[in-house]
Amino acid sequence: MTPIIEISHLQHTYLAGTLAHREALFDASLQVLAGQSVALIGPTGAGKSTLLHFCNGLLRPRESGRVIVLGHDMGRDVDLAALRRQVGLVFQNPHHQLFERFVGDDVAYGPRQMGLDEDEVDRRVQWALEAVALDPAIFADRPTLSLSGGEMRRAAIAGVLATRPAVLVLDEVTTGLDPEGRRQLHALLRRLKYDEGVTFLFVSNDLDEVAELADEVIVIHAGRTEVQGPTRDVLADISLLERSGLSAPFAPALFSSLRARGLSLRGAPLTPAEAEEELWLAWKG
Amino acid sequence: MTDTAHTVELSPRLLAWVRFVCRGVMSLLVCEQLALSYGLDGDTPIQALRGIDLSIGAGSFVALVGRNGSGKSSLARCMNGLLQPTSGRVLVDGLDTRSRSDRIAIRSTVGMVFQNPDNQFVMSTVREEVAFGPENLGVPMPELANRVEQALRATGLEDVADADPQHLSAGGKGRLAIAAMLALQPRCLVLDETTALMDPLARRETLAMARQLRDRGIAVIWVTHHMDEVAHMERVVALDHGRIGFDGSPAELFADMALCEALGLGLPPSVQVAQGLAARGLPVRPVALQTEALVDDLVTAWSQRA
Ligand SMILES: Nc1ncnc2c1ncn2[C@@H]1O[C@H](COP(=O)(O)OP(=O)(O)O)[C@@H](O)[C@H]1O
Ligand SMILES: Nc1ncnc2c1ncn2[C@@H]1O[C@H](COP(=O)(O)OP(=O)(O)O)[C@@H](O)[C@H]1O
Ligand SMILES: [Mg+2]
Ligand SMILES: [Mg+2]
Repeated sequence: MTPIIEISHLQHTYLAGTLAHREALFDASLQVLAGQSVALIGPTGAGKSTLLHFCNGLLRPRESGRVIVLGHDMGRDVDLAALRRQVGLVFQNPHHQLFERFVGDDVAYGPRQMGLDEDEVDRRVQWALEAVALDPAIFADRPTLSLSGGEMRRAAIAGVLATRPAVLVLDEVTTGLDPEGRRQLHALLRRLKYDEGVTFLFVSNDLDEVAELADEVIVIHAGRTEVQGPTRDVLADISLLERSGLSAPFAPALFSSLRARGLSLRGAPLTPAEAEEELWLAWKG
Repeated sequence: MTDTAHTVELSPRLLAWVRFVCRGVMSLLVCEQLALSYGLDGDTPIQALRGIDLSIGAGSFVALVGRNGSGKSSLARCMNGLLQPTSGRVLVDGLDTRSRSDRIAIRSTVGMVFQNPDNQFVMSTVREEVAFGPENLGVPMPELANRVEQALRATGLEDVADADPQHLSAGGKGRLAIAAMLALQPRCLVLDETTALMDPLARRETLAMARQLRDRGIAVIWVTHHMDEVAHMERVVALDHGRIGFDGSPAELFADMALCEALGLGLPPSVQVAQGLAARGLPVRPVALQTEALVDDLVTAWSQRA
């Protein structure tokens, strides 16, 4: 299968050539196949957002390394407007995403740019706002700046969903959402993946969320990608996570504590539900 | 006798004395039928708070939770007078937040730390950042330096006092935001989703910091969506569409799954697993607030079965 996103040995320095230069990526590689959901994890400052910004051309490879997105070599001339219709990026900070005065116009911005007729624009705005549980009747006419933090986050996600991209690149988008909103968003992402074949690359610092959503996980630390592998393998490797400045998700940590206290347990659960099931099976004997 | 005559009779010194004597017994922060609406001049005002009664004592550690838009930030801003009630009132150490003359006293009694402390830093070194608040309040020199050094020590930032705030780690930034508030010597600190944008290590660091402050007698109000953090607190107040939907202990809250659901909350993973296992007949306590409690129960269960 051809990769949707392929990054190899990428380096990046912000403000290169100035006194304020800052090296963000030293050697980063990753691969996302069609229909896959891939998580990028690492501590703050590791280079996660930087790497995501290469995926829709916000940053372009200049030093060494290659970035191929949907078959386009991002180091060369690319029709960025066309690319961004297919690759939707939700920023880590919703303030960087929202710029229209009213929520409805903000969500409509992308679809209007695509030249869709107003009926279709309306349909998409309704759908996208409902998808993030913002009642369109209440929120479409609300000034963007009057939203609470979590509502702003939802509006930013809706704006990208409304363009119905085939590839979604999400930068810590569940931070600031309430637990219910988080569950709803997880369900939505699963529907987009399984029903519509949307491909995901996402950053999250909640490893329990990664356990729920990702097929594969990439660990990045200090500008270098360490491994890319199946979620079950990467998240069960507690020493790798700790070396990379991360702490293990709940279920692997629980099993590791229980083993340290002398319980002999088989199985490597990833989620609380799996942990419960494994413990129940072990108890029954 | 008119009202004004009354106030003249109670001299400021007497008032201060009364307040001092009552300190121990009086709640530090009291909301009475607090209501707040936004956009009252427009056609559709938004009722963010609809009658909150709440009282918070000195040195308590309270989690404030609820759905996005349930009113947490609005309530937080009413607590130090950044926003004024539309009706009802808020008393800080006995002072009504509507009183203009008490504004400085109120702001220095209740400190606020917002989400994303990055955006709040204005100075070029950590020390200057910590000094900024008290300096603006006119705290004189030897005292100012003392406060700054104390705040830096309390938050473990002495070693990076001359660094640029922007160069701190995420957890370091959280601690700096707290240090800047500590230098104002507040008796209550409201942290409005301060850790929402932090990674788990930074979150833990900031929470540990807040716990130390509580141990030194400062009331901490911690706004969060993380149920594992809530599990560590003494009291949870959950807002639901601008009203109080729950006020009690985390154990009570998490024991009531239907209520959690109704308030848009979740269960900490340890409670989730413990409840599932208890329901299936394993001898474990269903409300395991900490993973360690679940581990202990499971180890005991296994050893007693063997
Ligand atoms: N616009 C920028 N200018 C200069 N340095 C930056 C910029 N954006 C990020 N950096 C730096 O690059 C490094 C990686 O940042 P980032 O990609 O945001 O990491 P992460 O998303 O993993 O937290 C950090 O050291 C950060 O300070
Ligand atoms: N400046 C404002 N103008 C108008 N409405 C606002 C403003 N700030 C908040 N609101 C609305 O008030 C309600 C409560 O918001 P907020 O207190 O920020 O909630 P929370 O912090 O619990 O997410 C929400 O419906 C929000 O949209
Ligand atoms: Mg980032
Ligand atoms: Mg808020």
